[in-house]
Amino acid sequence: MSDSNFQEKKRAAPSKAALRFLNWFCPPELYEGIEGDLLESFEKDLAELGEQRAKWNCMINALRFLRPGIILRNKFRNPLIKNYMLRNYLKIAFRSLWRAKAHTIINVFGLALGISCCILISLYVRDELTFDSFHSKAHRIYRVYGREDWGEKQQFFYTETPFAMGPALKANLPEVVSHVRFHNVNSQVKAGEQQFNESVAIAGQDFFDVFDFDLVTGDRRQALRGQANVVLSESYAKKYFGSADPINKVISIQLGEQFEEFAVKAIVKNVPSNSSIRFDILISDLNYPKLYNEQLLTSSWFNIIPETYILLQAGADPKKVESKFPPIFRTAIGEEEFTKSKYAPGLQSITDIHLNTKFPVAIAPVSNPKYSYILFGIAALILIVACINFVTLSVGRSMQRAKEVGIRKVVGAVRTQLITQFIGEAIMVTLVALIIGVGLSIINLPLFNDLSGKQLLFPLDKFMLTVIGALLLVIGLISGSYPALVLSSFKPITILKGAAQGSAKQSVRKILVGIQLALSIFLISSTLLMRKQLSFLQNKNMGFDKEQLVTVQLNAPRTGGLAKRVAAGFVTGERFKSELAKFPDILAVCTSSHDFGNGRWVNLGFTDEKTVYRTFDMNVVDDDYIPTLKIQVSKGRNFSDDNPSDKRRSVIVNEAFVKEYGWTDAIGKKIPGKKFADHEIIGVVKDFNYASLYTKVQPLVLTESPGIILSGIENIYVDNSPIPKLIIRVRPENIAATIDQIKNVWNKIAGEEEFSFAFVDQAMAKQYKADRNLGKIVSVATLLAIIIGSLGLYALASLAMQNRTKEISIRKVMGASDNSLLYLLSKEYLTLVILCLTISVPITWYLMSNWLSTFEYRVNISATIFVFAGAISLLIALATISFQLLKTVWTNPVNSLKYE
Amino acid sequence: MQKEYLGEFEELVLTMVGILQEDAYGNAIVTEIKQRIGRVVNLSAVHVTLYRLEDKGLVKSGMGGATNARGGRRKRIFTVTNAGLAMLRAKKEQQMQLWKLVPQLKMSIS
Repeated sequence: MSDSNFQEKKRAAPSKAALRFLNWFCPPELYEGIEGDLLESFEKDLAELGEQRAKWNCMINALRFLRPGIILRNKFRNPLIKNYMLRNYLKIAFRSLWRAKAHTIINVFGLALGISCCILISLYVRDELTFDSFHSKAHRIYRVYGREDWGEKQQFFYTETPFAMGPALKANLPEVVSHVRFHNVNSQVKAGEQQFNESVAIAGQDFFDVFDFDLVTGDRRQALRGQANVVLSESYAKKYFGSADPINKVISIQLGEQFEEFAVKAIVKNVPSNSSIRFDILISDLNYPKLYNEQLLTSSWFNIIPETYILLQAGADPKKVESKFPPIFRTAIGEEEFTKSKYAPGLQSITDIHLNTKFPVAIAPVSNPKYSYILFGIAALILIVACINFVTLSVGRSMQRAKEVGIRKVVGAVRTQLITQFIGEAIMVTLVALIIGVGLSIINLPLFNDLSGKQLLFPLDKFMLTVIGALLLVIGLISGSYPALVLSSFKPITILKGAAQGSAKQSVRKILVGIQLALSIFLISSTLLMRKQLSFLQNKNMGFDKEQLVTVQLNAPRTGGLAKRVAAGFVTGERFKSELAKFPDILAVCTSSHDFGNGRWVNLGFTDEKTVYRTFDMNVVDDDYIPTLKIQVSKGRNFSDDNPSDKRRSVIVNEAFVKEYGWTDAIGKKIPGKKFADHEIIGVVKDFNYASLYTKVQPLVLTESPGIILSGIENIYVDNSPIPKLIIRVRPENIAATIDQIKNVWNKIAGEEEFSFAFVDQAMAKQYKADRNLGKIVSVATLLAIIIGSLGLYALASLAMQNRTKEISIRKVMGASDNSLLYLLSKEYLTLVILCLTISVPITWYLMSNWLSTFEYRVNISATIFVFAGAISLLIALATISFQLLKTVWTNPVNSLKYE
Repeated sequence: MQKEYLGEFEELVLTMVGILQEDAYGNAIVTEIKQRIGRVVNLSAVHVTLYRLEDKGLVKSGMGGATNARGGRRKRIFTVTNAGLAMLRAKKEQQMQLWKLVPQLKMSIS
């Protein structure tokens, strides 16, 4: 019978998976009873409803056991007792926090500051780390970079590409789904009556298929598939058309020689702050022929202009795709050139662009991941300081809680219960701090955006909640566990007998306070050093007078090649010069191809007579350049109108140039390349820092006639447009009026074109923005750390003094003087400061010299900084504790002794 | 100590445990409820309620003997404790008292 029964059951058994699942979540002691009931009802159903229904019912019934009443049963074994104690714990926690209001406030406030730092910085770091990953196909999008190796010093590595790159890859490789070329041109834009100087982005037609920029209105697929289509960002649509509907409205953009009309076909949401590809006005690459000639677009493999992005097929391996490159370029470039140049392009993932400083910067901005690390470190430091406060204060107050612990233990509390109680208290305090911290960070977000140069928002999304949850747990557990362990380890007998406890814990507390001090000394000295370096950047003698210099961008008509346009710019410049010379507030005017603080000057490369590859920078100037900028001529002379040949064949070099070739006297010499047209060096100027102080002054050639130089070079690197600018030195008084005068002249000569000007000193200062912001952030962090740290020290000192009141009183009775007592009490803090100084000096020295090494011109790290920082932290520490010290020392001994 | 509350369903299940005596286990209670008052209840709900009643000390449980019927699984048999019984009684009295306060309307067949 049992056999047949077994057989039957085997034929119709309930779903195994459901039972196994039940077994997984169900507490084992309940499982048998439940499973039995399920099987029983299954058998009943089998007889009444048939196998299918029975199985189905059984499965549903099993799944319905997935409820808290079952799952959590084994987790909280003894809920009744727990709940009663929980109320007690909460009550006691509130009472003890309330009793020590000052300490609680210090704790909560310090933690809140630390938490809000962490939240803000985590927003920043997330923005940096998620750059470009908002594109849904980001893992398949790659940027093409190029490498050439011509031997000698001629290695080239760039992330712009030739125009022909994208089409060639798409045509030859099935893995390349689409390609997008992207670059910006500076151009005039007419919208209605107004005319603007704008940067116009030109992109491949597949742009919106590859990248995920959200459209507000318009058709994604068609937006860029017409030569006369333009896509505007939301803010630019507003700028041009106000609140009117911009779709199908027309704007004119100057391409080549004339203005072309474009119809607005789509409005895109403003580009998110974590996008490498940035644009406000976007037109299609169908417009290339208007700007570039046929040869450049199809077969110039060594002229790099746009960035090329390609979208690979899903699952395609970029390494494999790269390995298919060589044959393509061998055919495209030709065997000979290909072998000579070792032409080897490659692919860089779009998400890698932003933080990879190994790749040269093209159009997409690159930022050094170091800043993220530094900020992260700072946030961690502040949080550590706040946590230490928490720990020291809780441990310090353990004497007040000792009796409670003793009684609890006597009544029957287990150690784990006490630990949970105290950690729970810590988490409660953290929770309050967290709420305040989140509030603080929301309030301070605009300020932080200012400092970090980002436009961050405060989204309450999964990421933010994770950060908040992690903070709560980490702070609560870390800073709660040590006090919990200490408190719960008290032996009830000793406590209740009244013996003093915790003297052993003094050392731990001292170590913690020491860490705080060391951190503050580190932060103070870093701040001092950074300030020194930043003011050095501001005030260093650049070799020319950068104050009261105004630059005005001239707009050369887009006719002919670059050389023609530069020449045309100088002609316009002469007209301005004669007009502007009439104003007494304008001291000097010159025209120059390059201004300051806007990227590299034209860099040229050639092979000299000894077949060494050399590079130098070049600026095309006029004869007023050197006097206007007050550059010193160390040898020879300036260009002069008296010498008509200067306009044809004279060049002036800087001292770095002379040094590069090891000359003693450069006057009358030539640049040692064979192919340069007839020319002569007529003067040498002292080195002036035309680039930032991050880099050394490069060899530089100033000339009025770029043709002679360009005739002899092999490579040209143009980062910054060489279309001439006016550089005007104005009187320091009523600058605003002077600018108006310049603007009037501009309107007279240039007509309706937009007038844009900049001050040289500001433009140069802008180059150090990232580091200045870092300096500001470090200053703020220092301030916060000091505030939190000294709050903690204050509270700690008050506790220490409380414990020593009797000792001091007895000493006083015995005849100790106030001074000797003060010395006695502050001695340990003094030694602590000195100890911490010795710890933090090497750390600071290492980190700061690391930072300073990014500057070619920098201040030295001197010992005085550390002495100063030590003195400051000592003073702050002493000032903080002096109140407590004096209070203790000045107490009348009668008051503290009479109760014995 | 706070007064224990007994929910409607808890009361029902507790009563059933009282009725079934030695044979009070999950499935039997489901069947009993269906037979007696025609209410279809879920097995898991009954189990959870039984455990809750056990937590409150109104019932206690023990494993019964194995039979062939349930694939050899033993039953968890519940029995009403004294506290449970007292609770049921109190409930009933409470309800009777309240019922007496309701004006007794005559039912008329018209």
